[in-house]
Amino acid sequence: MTSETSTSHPSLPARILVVDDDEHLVLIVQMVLTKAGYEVQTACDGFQGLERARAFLPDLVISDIQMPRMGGVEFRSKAGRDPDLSEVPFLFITGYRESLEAVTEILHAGDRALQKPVEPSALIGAVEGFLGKDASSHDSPGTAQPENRS
Amino acid sequence: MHQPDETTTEPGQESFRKLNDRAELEAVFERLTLETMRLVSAGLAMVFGIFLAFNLLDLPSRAVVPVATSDMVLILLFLAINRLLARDLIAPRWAHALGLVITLLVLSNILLTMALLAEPFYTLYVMVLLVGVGGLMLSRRWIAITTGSVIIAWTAVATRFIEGPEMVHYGFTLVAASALAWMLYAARSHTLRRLESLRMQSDSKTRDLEREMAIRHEAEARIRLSDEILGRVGNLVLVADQTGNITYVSPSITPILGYSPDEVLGQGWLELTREDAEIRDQERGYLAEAAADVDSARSEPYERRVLTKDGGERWILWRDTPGPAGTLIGIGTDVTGRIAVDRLTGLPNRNQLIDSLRQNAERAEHPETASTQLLSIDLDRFKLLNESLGFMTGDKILVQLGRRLEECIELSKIRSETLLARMSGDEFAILIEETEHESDGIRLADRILERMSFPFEIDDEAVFLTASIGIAISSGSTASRQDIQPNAETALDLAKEKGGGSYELFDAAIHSRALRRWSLERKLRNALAWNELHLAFQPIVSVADSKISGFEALARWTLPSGENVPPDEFVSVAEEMGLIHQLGEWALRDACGSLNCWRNAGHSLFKPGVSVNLSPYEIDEKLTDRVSRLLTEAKIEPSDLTLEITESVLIEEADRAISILSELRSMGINLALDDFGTGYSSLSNLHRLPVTSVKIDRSFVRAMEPGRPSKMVESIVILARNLDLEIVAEGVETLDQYHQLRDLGCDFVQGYLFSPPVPSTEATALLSRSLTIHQDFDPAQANSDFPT
Repeated sequence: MTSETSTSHPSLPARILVVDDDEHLVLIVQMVLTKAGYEVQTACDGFQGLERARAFLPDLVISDIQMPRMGGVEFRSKAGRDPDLSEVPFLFITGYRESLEAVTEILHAGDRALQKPVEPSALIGAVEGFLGKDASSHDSPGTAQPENRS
Repeated sequence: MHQPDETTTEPGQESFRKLNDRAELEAVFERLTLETMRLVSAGLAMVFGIFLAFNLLDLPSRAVVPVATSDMVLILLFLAINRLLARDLIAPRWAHALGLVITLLVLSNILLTMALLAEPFYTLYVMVLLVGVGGLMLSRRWIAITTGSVIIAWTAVATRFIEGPEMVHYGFTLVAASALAWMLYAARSHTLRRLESLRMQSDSKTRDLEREMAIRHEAEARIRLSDEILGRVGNLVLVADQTGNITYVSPSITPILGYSPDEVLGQGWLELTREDAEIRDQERGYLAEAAADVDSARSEPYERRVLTKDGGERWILWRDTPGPAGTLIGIGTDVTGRIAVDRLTGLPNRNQLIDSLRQNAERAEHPETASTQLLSIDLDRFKLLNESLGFMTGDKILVQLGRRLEECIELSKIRSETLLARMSGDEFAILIEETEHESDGIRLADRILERMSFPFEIDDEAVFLTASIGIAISSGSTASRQDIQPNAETALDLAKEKGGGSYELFDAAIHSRALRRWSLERKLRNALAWNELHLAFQPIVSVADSKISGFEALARWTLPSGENVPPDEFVSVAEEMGLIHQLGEWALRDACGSLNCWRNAGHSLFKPGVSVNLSPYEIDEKLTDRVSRLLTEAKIEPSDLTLEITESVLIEEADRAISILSELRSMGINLALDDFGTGYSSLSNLHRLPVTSVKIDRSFVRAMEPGRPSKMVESIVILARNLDLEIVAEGVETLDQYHQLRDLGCDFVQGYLFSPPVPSTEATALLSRSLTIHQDFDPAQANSDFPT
């Protein structure tokens, strides 16, 4: 994936939207990603996520599966139908192994899924997999690759 | 065939019908004739009595004798006829003949009197007789005979003694009387004809009416018969029109629901349905659909709760068939208390759940330790979905939802009994019975919500739905257990109010412990990954040389908010969640790593060891392999490691635990019995455990008073000595405690007197100092020596 926004401003840091109803986790992830040089915005559920994504136009969305009002899968499905967001890849973080299996079946090309708990290094690794080593370069692996941490 | 019903026909109707019956009518006339004759015979007897009296006054005249005799005979005859008539001894058919006899008797008497007494005046009697008896009573033929014979007889007698104009005068009068008799007869006939014609008309109307009545009676009888049969069969038959109004209901509604059929006829069927608004709307739509298209009537039986007259409810299993003119015929069977399975999903139904709740409330086996939890699960905006995609789709989703819930329960591995039931419509419930884990319900709810995030596949369409969950936790009294269901519903309402897709706990303040536990569970997984946990080390000091002989490694967890979670709390969470192996391995690896650091820093002289706490849940067949692998990795001698266990290892499968611990011991690892004296098992079990030392619990050390040695500590020391075990005293905070313990013969001491638990780096610093404890050891000084 190479979003227009990122290619037209190669020097700008890549943008990541973190969507999770667990504030504790959102804080940590935001901290780690910001420290790694990414521009991070957060949302607490799919509704807010969709709203923020349309304004923020992220290069990557990191989303939980289960959230009130609108879950991650529905969020992904809606984003996929939005012309501005259809190219944005998703990194799902799921709480349960069965969710990881289920989400794997419905992943869009370019999406990935990890099971909680995700270690900081694994998270950064996954993000780099999407956006490249340098926080401002945005190469994408372009393949769906679920990762099962059993 | 219509049989006149004696009990139901009105009296007026009965007389009317009789009057219109030809035979009956004639009988009435004959009866009337006889009655008249009776009165006439009595009257004539009186009249002739008077004649007799007059005749007797003229007795000296010989001519009077035959007349008086005739009078007396007639009186007797008339009285006899009167009596016979009064006693009904004369049949009505003799009425005309009798009339003729009377006429002839009277006529003969008159003629006799006229002849003997030469009185033309008697002609008037004849006239009266002709008019009265003839005109009113006789038939046409007999009138002709009577009038003819009267005129002939009168003429024969009268010509003998009446002359000239008087003869003409009386003769004319007599003819006029005859004519009058004929006119009376004509009038009588006319009236009879009129009556006859009227009767004919009413007969035809009556026949029509009777036909109709017969048909109606037949129909009514048939309905009564159907009602009777339906009543006996015990099923409830109900016909509703497209708006849901009841147009027919079988009388069996009374024994089943308490209403009389009249009470519910014309009422809205949905008003009697005791289901929530969503189901009612669903039913409303269904009725309209079924009215428009007969094929959309449900082919499968389904259950509904129906309100009884006394405010209760019954479960009715309905089988629907399309009725005439857009109506729907429902045949219902009362299945209350009989069925336990929901037909749509195959899950237990409300009955079974309520039953289990009741039994649970009665049982309440371990009210002090165990809790019963109930989850009420309801789909959000299911009504909208039903409206937009139809009820069939809605039903498919409910079946899928049931399966998802089953999977979630299975995956959550709840150790106690669970029961999943479909309560009604899109509401499901899960009962968790007698669980020791307060967060079971919340954990399950979270899993369900996660599962709900995935779309339902309906006819290759992905349908996204969210669910709301209300959780009620009850422990303690039976009364509170009975409230669990309404409480879960209240919590469900709360969750719905928040916009759906979440769970709520009934009275979260009361269950804050369960909530906190769940929050810790969620955080603990991350904590292990994100290194929020760390080890603190508390020195263990040798009494003999006052040197640090080792450190006890203690796990600490500080949240990003700065809050410290007490080890007891997160260790038990980890044990419950199955994270204890992970936690234990991390602690052991970290402790060994620190030990290596100290060694590398040149503290090998002291040869400090490290003690790590071992949870009973970690003791399994793979423990020895894990430990030996970690020791090899860290290049640590087994004798440098002490694993601290508690007596609770003996609670379950003591033999297995002892054998595993013996293996560790044989590897050269030291084993210490922690919290000694406070444990679950008796002291007699001590010799069974392959431990090398005991640790006297801080509570006994704290209880020691200055100058007065503790008997308890003394006993423990003696016991340990006898078993050849080293003794470590924990929680030593004062010099006095230290001196007493030293005098009693303790080998090692540990406590704030020397140092609180400190980070690994500070532990290195402690080792750098030459540490000696003198007789006049000052705690204040000690605290300055050992950073806090």
